[in-house]
Amino acid sequence: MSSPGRAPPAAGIGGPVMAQFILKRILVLVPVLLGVSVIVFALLYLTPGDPALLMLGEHAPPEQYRALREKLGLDDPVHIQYLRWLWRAVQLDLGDSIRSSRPVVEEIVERIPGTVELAVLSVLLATFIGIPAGVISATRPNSWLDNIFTVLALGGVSMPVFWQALMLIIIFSVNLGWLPPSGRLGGWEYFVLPVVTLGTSAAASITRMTRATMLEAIHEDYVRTARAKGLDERRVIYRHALRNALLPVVTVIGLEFGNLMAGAVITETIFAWPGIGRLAVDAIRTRDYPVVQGVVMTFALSYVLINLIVDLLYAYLDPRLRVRYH
Amino acid sequence: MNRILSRALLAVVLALLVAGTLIPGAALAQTLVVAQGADAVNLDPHTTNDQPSARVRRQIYETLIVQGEDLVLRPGLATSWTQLDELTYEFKLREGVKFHNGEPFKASDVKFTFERLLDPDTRADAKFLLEVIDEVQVIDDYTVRIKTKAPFSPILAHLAHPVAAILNEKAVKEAGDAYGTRVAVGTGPFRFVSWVSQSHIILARFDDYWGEKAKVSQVVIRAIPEGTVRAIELETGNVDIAYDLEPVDRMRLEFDPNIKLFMTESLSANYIGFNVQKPPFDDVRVRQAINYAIDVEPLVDVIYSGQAVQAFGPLSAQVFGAHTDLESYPYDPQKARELLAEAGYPNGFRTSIWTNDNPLRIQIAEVVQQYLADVGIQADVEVVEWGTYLANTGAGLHDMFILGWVTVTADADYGLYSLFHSSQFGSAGNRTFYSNPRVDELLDFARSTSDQEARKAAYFEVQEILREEAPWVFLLFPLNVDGTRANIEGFTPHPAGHHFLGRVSKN
Repeated sequence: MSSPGRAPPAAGIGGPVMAQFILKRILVLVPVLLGVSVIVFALLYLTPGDPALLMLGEHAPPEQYRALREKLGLDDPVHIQYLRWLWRAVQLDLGDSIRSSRPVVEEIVERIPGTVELAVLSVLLATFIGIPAGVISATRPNSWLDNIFTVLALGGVSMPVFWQALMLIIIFSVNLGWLPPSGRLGGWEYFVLPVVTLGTSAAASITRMTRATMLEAIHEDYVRTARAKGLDERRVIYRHALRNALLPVVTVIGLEFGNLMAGAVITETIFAWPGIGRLAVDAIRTRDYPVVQGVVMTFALSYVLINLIVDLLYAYLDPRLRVRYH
Repeated sequence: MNRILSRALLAVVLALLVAGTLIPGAALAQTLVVAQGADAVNLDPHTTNDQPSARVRRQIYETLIVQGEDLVLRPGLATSWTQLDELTYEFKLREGVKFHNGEPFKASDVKFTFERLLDPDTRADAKFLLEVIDEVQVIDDYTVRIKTKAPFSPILAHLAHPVAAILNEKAVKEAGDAYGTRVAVGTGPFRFVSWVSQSHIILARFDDYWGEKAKVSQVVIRAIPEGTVRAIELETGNVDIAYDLEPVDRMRLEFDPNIKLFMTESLSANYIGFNVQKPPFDDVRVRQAINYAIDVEPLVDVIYSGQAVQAFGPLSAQVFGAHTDLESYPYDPQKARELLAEAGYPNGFRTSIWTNDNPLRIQIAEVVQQYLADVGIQADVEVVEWGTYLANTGAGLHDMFILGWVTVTADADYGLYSLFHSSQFGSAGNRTFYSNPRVDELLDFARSTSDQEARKAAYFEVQEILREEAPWVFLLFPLNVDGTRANIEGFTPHPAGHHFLGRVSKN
């Protein structure tokens, strides 16, 4: 069953249709974030462990413990604590970290650049490896090249990040001495290993998706038409087939980016890379409720924003969507 | 496609240029790079009481009294002290000392510091260490008197703890909320320069330091959480000193000619506690039996890979007042069975061992379970999450539990009072709910007299009683392992973990 014709070349973006589209997508942010905040609150209060006791440690006298509970408002009913938090959050005051006494917003803002750097560079690397590999695989299905890429992709997805990171460190830092083992201390050499670690894992899924969608696109009628018109093969593949095949791939890239924004904890730990992931794990372990809430809200916000960008990209790549889905 | 490609490349290049922070002067031979397992939390000693922060604060701040690596107390910011009466000590302060901001060190700074520490609104984690202080009186610019609420002779050791670091009143007040994160002013040989959160802290030599100037011009303290990576950084020479090496890495580095390893006795004790108010553990024979039933050597050799020594009591050898002549319970399962039979449990009984999710402790619990099974005791191992663990052992819900205690002041009072005095039941420290009037009497006496010999004698008697009464299974004292490059001189680890870097030099 063929699809209703190929997409026209992308028209200019702008105009009232697009603006409405963007506005609607932004308004969706609000209920999503509210929903996330309620869930985060509920989950934290269902888990065992008492932040006051954890903060004060084993030696604390009972009066100090009671005083701390009062100071943190831990004895108020849950919904009061939630509303209090929400009211402040709206004013961009996410409270203070229980552990460090610093404003949560400050802690998060300090660590975001590290995570964003790794996420952006890794996604770029993954895309530059993934899409060409996927295209090549699709245009030469079941060839030796395709098989190699398939094996590599499977390997990339199955290899534990922990192991891959340590292997890279051993080979490139200890044995060859080419790169520093860890740290975010300035200089491009510190980026190589963490980005390669994260990028190769993400590349795998991008490769597989590109291959799949390209295989479908190549068999479409319009590709046959383009070839019949006498266009050279490269133009056919890249200008026509790939453009259409890219839609699902863009989704995958967005998902990978979202994952990297939230989940690079292991990489951050091994490479001593300051980022949100480590902040989240440390905060959960020490029951630093304000920080956990702030970090999860940040993850939710970044996912939603990335989704928005993916939706916009969709509309750019396929103008039919602007009309049909606004 | 080309458009996207070139724009992406541009983004990559820009990102790389903008990324990261540069370490100034990293190429200088006079920069010492130190790696520890976690980032400091706050450089204000009146906030958290965690080791990573203490290790940085130790270089920036000073205390009235200094506790060296040999744990002997010496003059620091106080040149001498006398005890005026059983509640009052008078300290003569060192003159001509400057803070990093140029301000002179005076008695008013001492008063300000301790009042801030003890103020409940400051919410200092370590307030309890100096809570016995009632009042600080300024006699003149270089003389202070400290009055305690009750006679408390360990006060001198407590004043040497890094938490008693002297702050500059002006700097703290001016910095407001930024104090501890963007500003930290002390009198120490290094001054605070900058801090990239979760990455590194930069300290520079303080050229107006009153004492022996630091031998390196800059110190970078890096946070590298993964133990193996920390060791690798030491191996590749990127880092000059690495703290807390794990057994796996220690064994690999032992034969590396470029690395010096330091194994030091720490101030911690790992133990298994009984709930002595719950049968069958209310019978001393049962507790002794369990002590005989467990062979601690394999725990040391296998679980700790040799990075520990068998405990002979609750205090490690480094602590003042430790009774090092005490004999630890030998491994004697036969004797264990005899004692159990005597106590009325010839066929053993069923019980549980609690531990938190510390992997080493879980392994200990499993091995101990085996030994207990050999003498007929069926013990279930329950792994409890840390927060719940503290709460439930504090409430006395347990049978047996594995825990550790660090005698941070290296004084026996700290290592015994909270753990064994009957006034400290539960979360205060005495989770065995042990109560012995003679022990109470001795502990109270020892903390009120300043006669050090009398204190020692009292503590010796307490430890002998504890050995007999066995409210614990005394397991082991872990060793600290730190490593330096071979070209590093002057590094002497401190048993409490806050190693001093002022005398370290790099060739």
